[in-house]
Amino acid sequence: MPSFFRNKRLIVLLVSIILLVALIGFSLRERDNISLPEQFIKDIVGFGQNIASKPASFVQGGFDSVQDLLNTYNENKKLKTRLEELALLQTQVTDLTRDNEALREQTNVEGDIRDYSTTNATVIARNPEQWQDTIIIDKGQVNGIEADMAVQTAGGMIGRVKDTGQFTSTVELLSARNSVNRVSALFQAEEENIYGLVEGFDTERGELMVKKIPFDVPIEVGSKVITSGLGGVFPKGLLIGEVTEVSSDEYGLTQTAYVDPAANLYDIEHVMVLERAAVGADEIEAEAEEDEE
Amino acid sequence: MIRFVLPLIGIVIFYSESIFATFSPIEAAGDTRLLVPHFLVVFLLFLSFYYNRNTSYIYAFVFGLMYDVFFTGVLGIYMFLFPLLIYISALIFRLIYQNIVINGLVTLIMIALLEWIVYQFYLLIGIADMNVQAFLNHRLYSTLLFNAAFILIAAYPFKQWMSAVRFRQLED
Repeated sequence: MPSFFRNKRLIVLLVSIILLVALIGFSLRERDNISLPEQFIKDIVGFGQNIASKPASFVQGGFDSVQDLLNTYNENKKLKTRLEELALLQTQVTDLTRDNEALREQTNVEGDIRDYSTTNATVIARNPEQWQDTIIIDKGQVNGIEADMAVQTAGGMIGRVKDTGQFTSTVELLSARNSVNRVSALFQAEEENIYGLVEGFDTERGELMVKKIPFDVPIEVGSKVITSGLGGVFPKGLLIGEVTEVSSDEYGLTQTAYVDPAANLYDIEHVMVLERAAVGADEIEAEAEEDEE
Repeated sequence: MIRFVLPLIGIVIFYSESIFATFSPIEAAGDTRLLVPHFLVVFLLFLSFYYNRNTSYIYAFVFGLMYDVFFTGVLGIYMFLFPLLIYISALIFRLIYQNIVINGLVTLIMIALLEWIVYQFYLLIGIADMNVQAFLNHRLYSTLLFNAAFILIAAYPFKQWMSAVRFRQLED
């Protein structure tokens, strides 16, 4: 085999293919957060991205405000009609919140999976290759952001934190195709709650697919979908979207609902990262293990 | 000072990609089209054409690694593919004569090749689920047009800058 080893190019190619496979295997395995060298590179690149995104967002903001100005008259008309409804709704909400608090105190229920604390962040980049729907935000571990926190805009939930660096974090949008990207969802129906799992995104329709819904419950088109909080990670009650169509799956055992996302998943500027106040199953288990020791 | 010109241009282009990506997707010709900026590939290939091929391998490797870590999270793909594209284009130019128009065309072909390899790869590991027809209609054609526009604008300045830097360094 002397001629084989003399071919330098072939050796380089083979070694780099082996390296490539090893690296990809390393980065695709299940892991809580990225490794230290990756975080290091991410922080350096993220620092530059932070600077680079400032003038860009400034210019974009200028265009947006001109457009806003042109739309103001129409929006104003629409908003005025809704203002009266809003006042009524607000008094109802305050009343119900007080009522809820009082009842909770009476029954000694502590901790609510609806509670969360928020961190505001700005989007500094979007994945340019656009195969995976991820965005990068300007807050990281130093701001208390951890992997798997829920992320939402004013419109509704948009995704979860995939990994974090010191100063930046990557957010995976709901539209990303990923087998671990599952959100436990709840349909707000008249009589009872119906549960399902957000699994995947229909790119043709631009809508989320909520699967694993029992086949015998009727779901109305137009009903709202929120997070159920039962996955143990996200808080309850974040708006996901609205049902547009319901169909049974290929075997007829479960139903699939198409859900139009409430938040715009393409044009995102400012987001809120939510930390759930109530502890999840993982943390309870970890604490229990510590106690045993 | 002249030594920092090319890395600086590279870094600006690296960051500009993610900013241009915010324009995508657009509605054109009655359908949703993705515009994927591959300005970095244009820069790296022109670097290998007009500056120095060995240096461009190093640039390709470093920028590929940054791209993988910061954007995709799947290590190794672009880090491996950027140098590979430079190598393949060098093989092509053993057969045909080089001028700026041919360089632009070859760069465009390399971008198509990159998109195709990444598509096949993501199909394999389950990140992409487009069929070939959707890939061509929604992604490849619009991406090639978008990048062709960039090449039209940037090819001549790239050539001038890179030749100038090379000339200066040869003088020293």
